[in-house]
Amino acid sequence: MVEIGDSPRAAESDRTLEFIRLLGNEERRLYAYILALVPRWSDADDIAQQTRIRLWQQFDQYDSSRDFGAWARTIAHYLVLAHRKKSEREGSRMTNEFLDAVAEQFTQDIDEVEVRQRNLLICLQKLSAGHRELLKRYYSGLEDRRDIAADVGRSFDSVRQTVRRLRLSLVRCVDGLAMAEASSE
Amino acid sequence: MNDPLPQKLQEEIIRLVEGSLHDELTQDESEELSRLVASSPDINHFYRACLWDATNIRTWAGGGLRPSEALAESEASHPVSLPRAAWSVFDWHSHPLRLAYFAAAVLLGVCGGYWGTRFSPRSDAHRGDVASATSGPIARLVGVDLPDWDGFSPPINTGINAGQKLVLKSGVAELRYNSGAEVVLQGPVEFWVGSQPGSVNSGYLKVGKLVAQCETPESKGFTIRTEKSRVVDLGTRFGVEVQPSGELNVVVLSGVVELLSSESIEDRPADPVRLTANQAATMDGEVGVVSLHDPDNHSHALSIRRLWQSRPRDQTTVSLSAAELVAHWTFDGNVKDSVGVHHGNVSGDVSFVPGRLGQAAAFDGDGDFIVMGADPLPRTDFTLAAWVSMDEMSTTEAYIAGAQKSSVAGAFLRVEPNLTLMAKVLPNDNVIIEAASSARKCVIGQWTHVAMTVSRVNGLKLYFNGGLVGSGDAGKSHVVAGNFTIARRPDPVQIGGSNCYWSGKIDDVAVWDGALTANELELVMRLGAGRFSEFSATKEK
Repeated sequence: MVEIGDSPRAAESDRTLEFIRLLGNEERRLYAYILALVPRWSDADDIAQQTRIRLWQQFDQYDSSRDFGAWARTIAHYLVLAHRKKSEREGSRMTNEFLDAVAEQFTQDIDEVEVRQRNLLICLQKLSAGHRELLKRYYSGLEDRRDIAADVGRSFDSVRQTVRRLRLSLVRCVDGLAMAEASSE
Repeated sequence: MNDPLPQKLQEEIIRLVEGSLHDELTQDESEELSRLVASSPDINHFYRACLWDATNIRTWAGGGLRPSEALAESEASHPVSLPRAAWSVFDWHSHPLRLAYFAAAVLLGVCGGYWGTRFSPRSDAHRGDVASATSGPIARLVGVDLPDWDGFSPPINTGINAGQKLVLKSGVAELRYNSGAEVVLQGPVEFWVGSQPGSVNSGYLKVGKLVAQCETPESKGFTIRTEKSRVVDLGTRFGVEVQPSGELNVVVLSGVVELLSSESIEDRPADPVRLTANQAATMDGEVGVVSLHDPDNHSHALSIRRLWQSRPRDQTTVSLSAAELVAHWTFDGNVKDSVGVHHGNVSGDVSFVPGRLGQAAAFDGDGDFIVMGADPLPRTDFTLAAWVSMDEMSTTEAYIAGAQKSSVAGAFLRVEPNLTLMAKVLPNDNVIIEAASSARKCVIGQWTHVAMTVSRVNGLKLYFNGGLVGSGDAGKSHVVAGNFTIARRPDPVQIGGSNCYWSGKIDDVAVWDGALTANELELVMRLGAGRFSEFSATKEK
């Protein structure tokens, strides 16, 4: 690594800032990658945290001429495999074919993560205020979802079904915007 | 991106993804998700899109994303017009890669008290209210197809008063309103003629399926109300289905309709969702979420189209049949002739199994057949029809039904070794007139409706599943053989050492004195020979 500052302490500080900048740019895509491979909030959160720590620990080995995102995903993939090994002992959920297919396709569509984010925000505005509020509470993780259902006076299954419908509508809305963009180019 | 996945598959993936995110899947479901994603790049892409959106939603829900900024930045530049209301439509037809598909999403915000109350007639009191407000019938029953009514059971041409509740447990019924609006109901359905007091151009659909057509000026604005919606016609043909869960499906076959929700989530009026031809929408039964989808691939849309295409009004246009059913073997546990005296005698171990209509006779292809004591076929102007299903291909001809004496007499239906259908009549000694279904073949294990007609005017005609597939103009009559047989060649002549037995099932064999028309035979196929005769008799009254 090339030292940027004029003292070892300054250089370390600069490296820290550089790491934060690189990770900040990549974090959303990295989390999307992990979640695609381990589609469970709790597991993905754990692996994402482990990945951040491992990236920082191994940042000395990072070659700045390489794509930080690709390097980060390599490490994340290693941790996903380790997680999967552990899961296998508890009853494996995802197959090798699944992991290979998702990982391979992800790198091809990586820019779509950002595009979907922007379009999702537009589509969220198309929801009624009631549905937006329901979705926000459901996804915020701050409340038990059963409590939300009880609060709005509906069954848990009913709320869950509504959220699925909202999710499907949003996926289609986001896709529709992307296609409209593509056709206008 | 490639063509959208079928809606059902999208819904299933969303369900699995949501379940997985919240650790609610069984191991089998997890493996199913894994298998699905690995099976197709399109599914893989949809799966990742769902997860990316989930990530973004969670970030937004936690305050990490601000929609207003994103809108300000990008909405103006988007080529898709995004309306203010809480719904939106994205017409994929406009995209060069999506010409065959319509995929969109509509989110419908609804209003509190927009119509004051829900539309449902709360009880039979509704019937009285409406009836007292409107004198005389506002619609008429113009067609039925195997109707099984619960309660009020109107005959054809009955005038229906406003407020009348119609409960059809099964079958189809068609109404024509005085306004000119036509409504085809498919059971099971609960429907009120007239949706509210004073309304003469509307109906209330509690549950079930209907198709409406409004081509007259007076019928414009025809409205179908449901528990939580109102579908207003603007000059069109459309279908509405209400599931027991309350889910509403609307399909527009032509023209335009407006779909409005009566539910309230926000304190402002709902904007109507305008649906045009080939658009379809599903509205959630509880909160009024509407999603538009590809009607070509959606089961509700397909069933709505089928309902319209098979509407019973067509039956009333069939000219009254001059033919009389003179022999009919239903094979419902026996070989008796249900209308005449041509009862059968069984040879071999013929059994009775679930058939096309009730039970059918099953033949093992090795000595099983049924022979009648006398020949029910008139010399000319007759029809022979049956439902048949082959269990296996035969190396020789497989006889269905008919009479034959060598090459000197008879008329019969059989299936050739290449599975084509064959009809033959022998009008004179050593003269054989035949008609074959060269382009249509029976399929092993599938039911096929077969029929032949012989008339002095039109000769021999052969029908395969209700469609004319062959003819022989010279087959205007036959020499009576007197040995009517089912499932075996009638005479003792063997072909390749075989009596040409039938291996499989035969059901609803019928003989008419008179040649049925193609329309009539289509009805025979749909209704069964017995119900067709009842229907004809009803019309004659």
